[in-house]
This record gives sequence, C-alpha cells and structure tokens, in this order.
Amino acid sequence: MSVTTLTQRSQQIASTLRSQFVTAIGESGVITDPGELRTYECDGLTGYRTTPAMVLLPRSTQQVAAAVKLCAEHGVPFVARGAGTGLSGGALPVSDGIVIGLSRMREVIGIDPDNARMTVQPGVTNAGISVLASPHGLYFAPDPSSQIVCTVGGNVAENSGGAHCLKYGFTSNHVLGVTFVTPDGSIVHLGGDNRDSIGPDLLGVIVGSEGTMGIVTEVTVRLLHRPESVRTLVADFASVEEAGHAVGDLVAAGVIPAAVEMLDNLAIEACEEATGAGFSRDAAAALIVEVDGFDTECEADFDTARRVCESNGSTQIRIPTSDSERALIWKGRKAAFAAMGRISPDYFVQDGVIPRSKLGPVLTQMDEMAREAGLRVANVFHAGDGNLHPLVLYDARHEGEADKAEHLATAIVELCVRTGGSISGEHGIGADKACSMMKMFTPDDLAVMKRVRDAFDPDGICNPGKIFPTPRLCGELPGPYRPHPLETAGVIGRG
Amino acid sequence: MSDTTQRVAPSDLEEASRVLRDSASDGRTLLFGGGGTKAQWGGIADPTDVQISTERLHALISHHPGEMTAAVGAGMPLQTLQTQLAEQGQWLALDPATERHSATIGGLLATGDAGPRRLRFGTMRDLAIGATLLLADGTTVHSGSHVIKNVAGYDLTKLFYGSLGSLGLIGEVILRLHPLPASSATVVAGATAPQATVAALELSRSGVEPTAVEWLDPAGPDDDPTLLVRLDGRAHGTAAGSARVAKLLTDQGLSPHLLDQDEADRRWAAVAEAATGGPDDSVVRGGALPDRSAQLVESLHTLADEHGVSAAVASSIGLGLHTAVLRGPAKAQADVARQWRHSVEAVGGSCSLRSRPAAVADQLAPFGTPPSTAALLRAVKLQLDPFERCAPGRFRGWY
Ligand SMILES: Cc1cc2nc3c(=O)[nH]c(=O)nc-3n(C[C@H](O)[C@H](O)[C@H](O)COP(=O)(O)OP(=O)(O)OC[C@H]3O[C@@H](n4cnc5c(N)ncnc54)[C@H](O)[C@@H]3O)c2cc1C
Repeated sequence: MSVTTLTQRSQQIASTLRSQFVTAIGESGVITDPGELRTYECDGLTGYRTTPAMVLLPRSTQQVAAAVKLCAEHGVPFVARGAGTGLSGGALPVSDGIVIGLSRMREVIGIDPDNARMTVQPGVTNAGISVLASPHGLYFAPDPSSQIVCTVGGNVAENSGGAHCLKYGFTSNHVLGVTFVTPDGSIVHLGGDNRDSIGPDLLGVIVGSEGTMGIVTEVTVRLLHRPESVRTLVADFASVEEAGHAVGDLVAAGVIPAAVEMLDNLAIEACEEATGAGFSRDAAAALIVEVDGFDTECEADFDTARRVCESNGSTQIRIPTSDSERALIWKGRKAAFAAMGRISPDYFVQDGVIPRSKLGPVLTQMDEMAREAGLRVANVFHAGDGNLHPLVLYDARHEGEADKAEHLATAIVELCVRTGGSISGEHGIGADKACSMMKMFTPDDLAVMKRVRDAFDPDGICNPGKIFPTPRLCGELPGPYRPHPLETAGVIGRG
Repeated sequence: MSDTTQRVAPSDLEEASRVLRDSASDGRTLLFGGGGTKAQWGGIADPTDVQISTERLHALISHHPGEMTAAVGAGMPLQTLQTQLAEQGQWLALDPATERHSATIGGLLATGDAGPRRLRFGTMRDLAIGATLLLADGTTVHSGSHVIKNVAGYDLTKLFYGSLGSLGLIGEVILRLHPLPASSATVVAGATAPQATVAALELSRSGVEPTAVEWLDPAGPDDDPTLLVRLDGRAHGTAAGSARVAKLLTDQGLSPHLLDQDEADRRWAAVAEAATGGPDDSVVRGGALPDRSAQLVESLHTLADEHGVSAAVASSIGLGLHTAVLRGPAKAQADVARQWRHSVEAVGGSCSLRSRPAAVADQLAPFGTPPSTAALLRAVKLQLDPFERCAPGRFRGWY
C-alpha cells in the first residue's frame, strides 16, 4: 500500500486547517510542504508508505492537547510518531490524516536519584535516559537494539523489550506514570508516586497499545541501580539445536540470566562483516549469556552458565576480559539487523515468540521451510524468552522473490502461534500484523479489545487501521481462527 | 449480601459463562468472590442479586516447569498452588499477608495484593502473563499466553489488575514462575522511621539486592519498631549478603543481627499479621515516594496521638508503601484515616481503605480525591459492563 500523491481531502485539510494549527503550536511546528511530508511517510517497516496531509511538531503537553482537540473537532485522524524506528508500521500515517511528531519534546523534567526515577518528555531517546541517569549509578533497564535513536514515547507505545528483559522485564515494568492526551484533547495523568495504583490498571493497558489510545507527553520511568557484577560469555555450538538445548538447561538450573541471545551462522557472518566483534565465523550458532547482580550470586550463576554450555557440547567459550571487549560483543549483537545488508539486499524481520523449550525443533523446522522455499533465513534473537527474530533474506530484483519471502515470513509466524506462542514479542502489531491477529485471538477477544479502545477513542481518530484486522485489510471477517493447540489438547478452555 | 442473594459456584468456565448470560437476561447484579480475604478492600459492594464464587475453579490447569509458567483456575488458593509448584522447585513469587487466610489467585489479581518480596519480584501486575476473563454478559475473553514475552493485542490482564471485580469475572490466570530460592536469610535491627527510611535507600544502592526491606512498628508500648531485611538465593550468597547488610546497618548506627530460621519465620509471620488488623480496626493503605516514608509515619503518629487512636504500621519501606492499622473509637479512627489521607495526598501519594468496622464505614469514603482518569475509568466500565451490574458500589465516588 503506497500513496505518494496528496489526496484532495489531504489538500483540503492542509489549506483549511493550517492556520488553526499554526495558532495552536506555532508556524515552525507545522509542516505541509509535500517534499518535507515525505520524510514521515513510513517507519522502520519501509514497505508501507503513506504521505500524511500535515505533520505537527509540538513542544509541550499543552500544544499536543491543542492539536489533538483540533483534530477531534474536525474529525481528522492523527498518528503519533517518535523516532520512526518501529518495525510493524505503527507510525504509518493515515492518508488524509495528520502525523504528530514528538521529536521536539526532548526535555528532562526531573531526575530523582533517591527514589530512582526520572520524568522526561516522550522524545527523549531510550539510551539518553540511561546517559542522564548514569552519574547516579542508575540506568533504564529496557534496552531495545535501536536504543540510541528510538524514543521513550515509542517504547511506551510498543512496550519495547531488549536483550536484558529476560531478568528485568519490559517497558511496562519500568514505567511508573505518564501524562497522556486522550483523543478528545483532554490531559490526564496515570500512575504516580504510589506504587500501589488504585483501580483498574489503565497505565498497564496504555503501555503497549501502539498509540491507539492517545498520545504520551511525559513519562516517569523507574531506574535501576547498576548491578554490582556483570559476567558475560560467548559460547559457540556446532548446531542451533545444541544451543537451544543449553538455553533450556540454563533456566532449568534455576538461573535467571540477565540476557541470553542467540546468533546463527548467517547472523554471525553478517555481524562480523559489519562490526568485527569477534564471533567465530565457523560456529553454527553462538550464545551470548550474561549474568549480573550481587557479587557472590553472580559468580555462582556464571559458573553454572559455563558448565551448562560445556555439557551441551559448546565447542568454544570466550569470556571477555575487559569492559570494552564486552561492549564490542553487545555492539555486534545490536548491529545485527543493520548488518544484514552486508549479506542480502533485502529482508523481512519477524518477531514471533515460542515456548523456549521448543527452540530446537522450531529452528530445525524453520530451516526446512527455508530450504523448501529456496531462501535463506538468518536468526538473531532473544533466546532466553523464546522471542525469535528470523530474517528472511531475499533480493527484490529477482522476480517473485519478495512474494516468496513474504509467504515464508508469514508461515514462520504462524508456526510460532501453533507452538503456543505469539505473533509478536516486542515489535508490535501495527499495520503489518493486523491480519495475523485472527490467528491468535477469537472474534470475541478482538471485539472486547475494540470496546476498550472505544472507551478511549469513540470516534476512531487515534492511529486508526492498526492492530485490529479490518475487512478492507484482511478480506472476510471473522477470519481463519483456529483453536489454540493447548485448547485442542484440553489444557486450556475457551469458555 | 441480601437474603435473596443467589449463590453460585460454577465448576468450569462454560458454566460460569452460562450463569452470567442468564443473569444478563433480567439484569441481575453480580458480585464475584474468591477466598473472601479482601471483600473489604476499597468500597464495600452493595448487596447484589447473585454472588459468584470461584471456589470450584481451583484447578492447576497446567504447569510447564521448563517454561516456568502455570495456568490455574481463579479460585486456586495461593497456598495450595505454592505446595504443588514446590514439588518442581518453583514458586509464584508472591507472599501476601492474606496467603495464610486462603487468598486465591483470582482475588490477588483483582486486588493487586502482594507482600514484602514485591521489592524484588513485583506484584500480580508483573507475574500474571495472561488470563481468561468473563464479562457480565457471559462473553469469554483471552489475553496473553504461556509465553512471557508477548505484545500482541491489548493487555486486558492488566486492565483487570486492581479492578476489584468491577469489570467482570477472572476465570483463569496464566502465571510466570520463579525458581524457589535454596536459602534465605533475614537481618533485623531496631530502627525508627527516619532511620529505616535512610537505611532502605542505602540498601537499594548497595548492590546486595535484598528481596524485602520491611519496617514494622507495632502499636504496643513495649514493642520497638524494627527493620527487617531479607535475602533469598544460594546459601553462600545469602550468607555473604547478610554480612554486607549487617555492616551497612551498623554503619548507619543501628545494631543488626542475623535471625535463625525459626525466629525469621516468626518475624515474617508477625509482619503479615500486623498488616491485617482485627474486626474493630480500620486498615488504611497509603503509598508515596520512598523518601517520604519517615514524614508520613510521623504524621500518622501525630494524628493518632491527637485523636486517642493506636496506630500500628507495617511498611514496605523501600517502596514507600504503608499499611496502618487504627484502633480506637470509630469517629476517631475515621478522623485519623481521613486526615492522614490528606497528608499522603499532599506529598503526591494516595490512600485506600482496606477494612473498617461498620461504625467507621458511614463516616469514611473508601478512596480519596478521584484521579484525572475517572472519566476514562467510567468509559471503560460502561464498555465492558454497560448496565453496571458488576460489584456495584465498589468504586463509589470514583466511577
Ligand atoms: C534496528 C532496529 C532494532 C530494533 N530492536 C528492537 C528491540 O530490540 N526491541 C524492541 O522492542 N524493538 C526494537 N525495534 C523496534 C523499535 O525501535 C521500537 O518499537 C521502538 O520503541 C520504537 O520507538 P520510536 O520512537 O521509533 O517509535 P515510532 O516508530 O515512531 O512509533 C512506534 C509506535 O509508537 C507510537 N508512538 C510513538 N510515540 C508515541 C507517543 N509519544 N505517544 C503515543 N504513541 C506513540 C506510534 O504511533 C507507533 O504506533 C528495533 C528497530 C530497529 C529499526
């Protein structure tokens, strides 16, 4: 779906409403020039593009509220946007709609080291928070690989994760409060100083709602004290199955590692090309295992981790001897997506989750599916929590290959759901996976989610067309829902 | 509960859904209940036509030790679940005071009840990764799954966290589990509220990572307030950790000592007991930023003294959470609770009532100033329960 020329309605919005938006947020915050608008036509999922009618760049909660109120009055849909690194088309504009970019809202409102919290505007980057917290020995735990650029507002919207979520949880576990502009332009505060929130946890629902309930204009995050010790190892394996098995054994041994990441051979190759982080190019798979915490406990966990890797046939274990060597390993891991360009001109990233005990068999099956399709699939992912990131590699210049790759990517996600997992672990549903929602949820499940959405946004003007499957997008509804495997097995029921 | 209340205990979710559907046909009002340990939390619901008990929805539906997840019926008592999970060396990392009084998993999710070790493991908000929920009209909804990492769709499990039965019935819950610690150690020291507040902040910076830091101030004239610090982990880890904790507390001018296992169990039971209160007491829960703890405890004691009320306090002091148990004349209890709520709100915190004798109930609202989200809460309520049949009165004054 790609709309590159402005529709009549778009032009009309731009011409009739421009002056009102200028009054609300100032001339410099209103963009209507078609060339400039194109900068905002997609997020990290570049296959989907839509040029918005207008882009607004407010600087304060009040300006956001004023802009949203105007949208509500005129029935104009709007889409919030942080850094645009989302991988599910969540910030994809609506044609005839407005993009509200939060990139100019980058102020730090307050740091409270004693209570280990910080309040910032939503345009502050994820890594920026940890940089500001670091003089106090504190940091912000969620660490998406995109952390240098992605915004905390985007993290809240996507409930973003990262390598260290296995032990420390996701964004939702680290957001204590938000200031929020609802789709009618009201300003509300959720969460706050009392760690026992009273009443239904609306904050918990807003985190991860992908910008479909309103716009976050301030975020109070919980900061953690840097752990006393951190130990990291990279273990090579002769097969992905062995590496997968080691992950299961590690957890069974009662260790909750800070992070367990897996790279398969293709991913290792790409990372090495891009960063030279020192992964063994001949290994079939590598595990990065990190444990942290109180000194004595951390050492014991590290010994266990090493033993588990060895007993699962690890061919080589590398233990970084300096902080810089450890940082390089993580730099290599976090550059993995970007590095794929070194080995393939195009790729699709998936984000399915599987029960971690099924890592070995699922990876084997994915390998077979790839071979059948005649395509390569690289894997670099959060193994500890079963969150796969298969990268289906293809070359768009070869006719039909993109289609083939897309089919394979979809088949892989469906495989994840069949194992009892999820279609998305951290990238969100957005525009991209809305149709796959029917694979995971019943029409009733979706209808109730829709009712919750209606409570926030009765007119459907806030990031419409995302998360929920629509007939226009997905064909006939209700869709091809199949019972959950646990349900078929009589393990869970559907009432 | 009125005389005409119909009591139902469905044995599976299909039956529960059918009961709800039937009740919808003539608009009967509904109250959901588990172990009944927290029926007094928040507002007391008006008498309803139907009471649905989860007591027969008590199954351990599945336990996947390798995934460290389990699915249970909402009526599963926490204590029973812990016994079953312990066979596999796992536990639900939750230690609420109500555990010994038959608290159920559904009730724990609906109330957000948690104990001292929430400092490390969080609450049901962090531990419930999925749920099956039944709306007033019988619609059955699923949220989350057995995988811990999952962002597909809205997190309806969290929506029901703290909902006190006002949005619908929690039927089943999927839980994230933790390995049972091999060893635990508890260090105790006499400490005033200001000393405990400073010590808790120091402990959070220390790198030792305690699982609980609680402060207990019994109301009795002979009982001194104490700080309890708990470590869970491997034997040599908790030994090394408790030595470090003792040193840190000594440096703060306190006189800590390590408790033996029996004494530690006894002290933790006393903490749980202290937070519960008796039938004639009002129990108020207040929370604010951790560094406000000393100030809020002092303001509570000042008010209690002024009104001739005895006030015992159990605080998760590292998190700024305080449970105050007030004993004395009804009017005085209500006055202290109300005025203390003002003090807590004045520093940015909030309070809710967890229990009160009937004589206090008439004089004291369950919650303080409505939040800015009251209209949103009401909109959500009307979307899920349009005829307002679930737990009427539970959020009186708010929505
Ligand atoms: C190379 C690469 C690596 C990545 N690695 C990870 C990873 O490890 N883990 C992970 O979880 N994600 C990862 N991502 C995905 C992405 O970075 C995250 O989803 C991130 O949180 C998006 O932030 P953003 O500021 O770019 O948001 P955008 O892409 O601009 O927006 C994302 C969504 O949030 C909404 N939104 C943005 N700001 C607000 C706001 N203030 N209020 C309300 N809604 C808002 C938008 O409407 C949209 O739906 C990666 C992406 C890339 C490109």
